Amino acid sequence: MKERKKDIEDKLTKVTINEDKEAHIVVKKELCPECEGKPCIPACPAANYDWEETEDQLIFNYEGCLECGTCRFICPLDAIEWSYPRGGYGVAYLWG
Amino acid sequence: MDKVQCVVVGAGPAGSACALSLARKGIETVLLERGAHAGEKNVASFVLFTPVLRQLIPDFEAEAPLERLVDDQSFIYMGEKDFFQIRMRFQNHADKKMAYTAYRSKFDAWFAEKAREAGAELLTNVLVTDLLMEDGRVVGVKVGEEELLADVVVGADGIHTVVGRQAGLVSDDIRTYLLGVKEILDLDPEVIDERFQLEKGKGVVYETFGYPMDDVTGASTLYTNKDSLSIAVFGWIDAIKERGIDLHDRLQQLKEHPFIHSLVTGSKLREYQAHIISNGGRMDLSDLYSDGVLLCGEAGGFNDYLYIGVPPGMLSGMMAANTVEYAVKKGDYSAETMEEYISFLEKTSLLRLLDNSRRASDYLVKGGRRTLPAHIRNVVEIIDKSMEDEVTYLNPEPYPAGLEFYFRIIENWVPGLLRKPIKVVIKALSLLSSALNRRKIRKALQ
Repeated sequence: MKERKKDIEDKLTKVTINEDKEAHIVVKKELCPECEGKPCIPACPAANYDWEETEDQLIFNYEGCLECGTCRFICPLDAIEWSYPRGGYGVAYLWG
Repeated sequence: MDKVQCVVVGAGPAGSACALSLARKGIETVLLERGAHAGEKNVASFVLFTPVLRQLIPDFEAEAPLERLVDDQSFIYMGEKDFFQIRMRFQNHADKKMAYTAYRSKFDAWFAEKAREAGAELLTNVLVTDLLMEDGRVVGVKVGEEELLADVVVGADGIHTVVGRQAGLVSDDIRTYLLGVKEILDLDPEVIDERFQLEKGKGVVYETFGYPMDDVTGASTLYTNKDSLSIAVFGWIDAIKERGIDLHDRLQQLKEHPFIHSLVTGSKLREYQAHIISNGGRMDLSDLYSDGVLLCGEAGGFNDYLYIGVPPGMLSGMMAANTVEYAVKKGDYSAETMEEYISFLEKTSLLRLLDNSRRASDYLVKGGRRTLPAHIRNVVEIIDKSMEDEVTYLNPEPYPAGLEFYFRIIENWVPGLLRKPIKVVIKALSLLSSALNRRKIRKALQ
């Protein structure tokens, strides 16, 4: 899992993202410890979801978001409030 | 408060085709795009089939940002280390210049500019957050605190459509959605020409089936741009949800497959991308319109069963424009008037296409999705075994490939619990037959 995160972080250095100060995705993290599968962690192609074992909680960054919207559809507990970033912010693909 | 005749939300191919058509009809149109320029939010495995665009802009090739003319296409069936390829080259397609590869970020920006030149007002950096409603009718859009009134709002705002959702027209069936994860890989143009056996300016599209996506969709793709390769894998969203499928990992596996590796080796990552697509036909026809609103492009599920979305999107945008013109002439924007959209769509093949898409996705959802991708791998492996047997010449009784194939088919159809014993039978069959083979070969050579 660590290796995956590192690989993806390297790849994200090639992506242009105009980060907003406002989060466009809000996760109700208090629900996550109950979640069995936690599919968001392997599913997110930007590896924005991770699990902190020692604190038993979800770590989430919206900053590297590729705006695919996978997490919006797959969260088993509907713990993810998803919207697009504000106009002009977020990912800007140069070669989409 | 400003009011215009029509607001088109989203300057992708559908929205821009709609705005361009509306502007040409002299209808006052505002085209809203959430990116800093059109195309920067968009990702596709972009092989542009040209006939629809040619209707709108006959000489588009003179100025559109295109990459390579595609007249060479392959279906590639993949085992873990093996493959077989069906290669097609159709002279007619080449003569008619039927398909080009391109980048959405470049193409969409150019196409939106054509809509602007025709007279539509293009506003970028604008995210529509809400619809303005009045007595259940759509009367405009909200952009943060600002409001823009319109006689008609056309939702061309993609799979996550704000317009469609707020108008209550879209409900998600994630079994018909796919996540695509894609990379653009830098590679010298001459190396591309040599590796793919290409004449100058020409390109290929490989549709790859089977490994490493056997258990998800079976689908991946590789195609050539001028100085890069695009490579992508696709996975069903519900499979990702239920089984925690990691598409980044699958893409790595694809690139390490011996054949694909030989094509991508030495390339360098230029960009990493992800996007969700539908396989079309996800809407009831009555969910394409309502009072004061129409949906086109991916927002309306205009994507064919081969996941080709841009030309159907454009055409749906053009038909939406015809509907708006009809409503303007009538001076009425109610759902009854908007229903004319369906009549305009009926004049094209789009409704038949949506119907096919729905049937294809029903088939996949109901069972085909489990068996179809696995079949491909089975075929590759059985061909491999039979071929080996065939050219060994020393075995009087060939390997029972047919028998194994039937077992493999059964394996895909039985419930999960029974699959394990059948797997064991297949393995035993395979071991037994290779032991017998060795014996027979020894005997033959004595």
